[in-house]
Amino acid sequence: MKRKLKCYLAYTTLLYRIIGVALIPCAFWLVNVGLLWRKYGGILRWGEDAAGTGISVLCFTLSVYVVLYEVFTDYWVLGGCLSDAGKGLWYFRTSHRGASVMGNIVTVDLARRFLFCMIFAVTIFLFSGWKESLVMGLAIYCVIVGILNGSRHFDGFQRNMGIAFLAQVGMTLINVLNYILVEIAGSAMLACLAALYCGIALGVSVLTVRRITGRIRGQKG
Amino acid sequence: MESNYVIEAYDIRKKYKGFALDIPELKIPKGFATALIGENGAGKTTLLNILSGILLQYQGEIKYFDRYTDRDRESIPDVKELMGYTASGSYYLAQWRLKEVEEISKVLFSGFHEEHFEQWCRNLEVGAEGWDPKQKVGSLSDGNRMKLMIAGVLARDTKLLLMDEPASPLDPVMRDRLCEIIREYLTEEEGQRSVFFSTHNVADMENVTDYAIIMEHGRIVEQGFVEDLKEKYVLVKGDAADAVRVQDKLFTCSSGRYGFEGVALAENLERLAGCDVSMERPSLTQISVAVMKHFSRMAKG
Repeated sequence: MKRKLKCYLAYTTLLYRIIGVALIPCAFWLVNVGLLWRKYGGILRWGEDAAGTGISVLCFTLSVYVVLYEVFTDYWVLGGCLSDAGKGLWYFRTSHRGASVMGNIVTVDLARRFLFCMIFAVTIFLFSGWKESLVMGLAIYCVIVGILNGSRHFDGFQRNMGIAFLAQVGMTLINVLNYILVEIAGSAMLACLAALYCGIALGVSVLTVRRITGRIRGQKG
Repeated sequence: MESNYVIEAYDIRKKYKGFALDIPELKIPKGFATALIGENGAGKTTLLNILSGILLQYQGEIKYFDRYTDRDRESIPDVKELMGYTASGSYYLAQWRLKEVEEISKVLFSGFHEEHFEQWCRNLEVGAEGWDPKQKVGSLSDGNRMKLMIAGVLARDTKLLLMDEPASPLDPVMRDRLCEIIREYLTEEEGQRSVFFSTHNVADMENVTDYAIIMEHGRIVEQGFVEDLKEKYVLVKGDAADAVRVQDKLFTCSSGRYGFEGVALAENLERLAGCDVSMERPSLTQISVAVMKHFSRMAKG
């Protein structure tokens, strides 16, 4: 893990780490905590009133912004790295360690995103007792990583911005779908969705690392 | 028996829409500076990208350092460690600062020496202060980005430099310095190091070129040691009045109001018997231009 972190730190700029990894996610989390605090007055106080009125709307809105932020800021680090014209991976191809170093970078990047999504989701759960938030956290991660596999094919900033906005629409639809399914089928569906998103999260993570390292090794895709 | 070639390539083929690279045989001599000369779109960058491992979809076989195949290049660490490649545009990300270029290079190459890198950055005056760790790659000019890539490969323990148009973005003084650097690089390990660079500004790199390979439309049309090429071709000059008479006997010919100048194959000189012409030893630039013009004309029919 130390080596993976070393690669990530060498690849990402200090400014990105300060703003993109620390400041803005913390700000998001604080807004999240602030809104929940105002509504529930503290953590683990839900008792019989778990998941009160409006929590789903509040969380759906925040989740959409998390997706927008994550897709948008990816342009800063790995934007266009999968594009044919982009030279983003050329330097890595000149080294025999290129694929493994990039694999380490992407793994840490994915772990960071997963942590952010789950901290976001667990915080909601701790305040509201709304179990669906944990499934939502997994869904956010899947949407972000799935979209990044597409957006990284484009070099242009504007295209990336467009994709980030489309990702918001995708996240909203998934939230609504999850909500309806859980409303219809209850907690059994919640467990199914959790298992499904865990599987998808693992799948897209492995796919993401393989695609980017495969690109360095010269494979198409 | 040890081979005299640092790279040997056979049947290299790569097709794009409207362009095909087709090289039956390519041998780059060990211990020398080899120039890959050609017009824009001749296939120089494609060939260099194939040899450096940037472009991996191609047909053919490549042998490096008389030991490794192109499959070994991807699996045995030594091959890429021994090769330094500079691209025609920067391959460093624009948002990286010089310190981050250094950090990532350290992670990617075991033979990278940060103190050499900083020294080369100062030496080549990359950016305003030479070595400013906080300077962003994106804020550097094209010439300085090239210098940064050159500093990056020179800071490593390499035996072969592959450079795509290294002189193009540099100013005349720095081009001259680049020639000195290449010469120093070659002499440091007495015949063990080689440089293969592409250029279309032959004149700027002529004094460092030992061996020349001339490309036209994806094919190698001429190659050899510069001294041999200068024996093979002759620069012919004469009065304007004689231009029409000798034109078809020359490899290429350009005439003006006061005279003509052309390049002929030395073996065809007897054809000029009886003509009032003077002969000189041509420069590599004159040979290259003549060869490129000749084969370009042939290709057009």
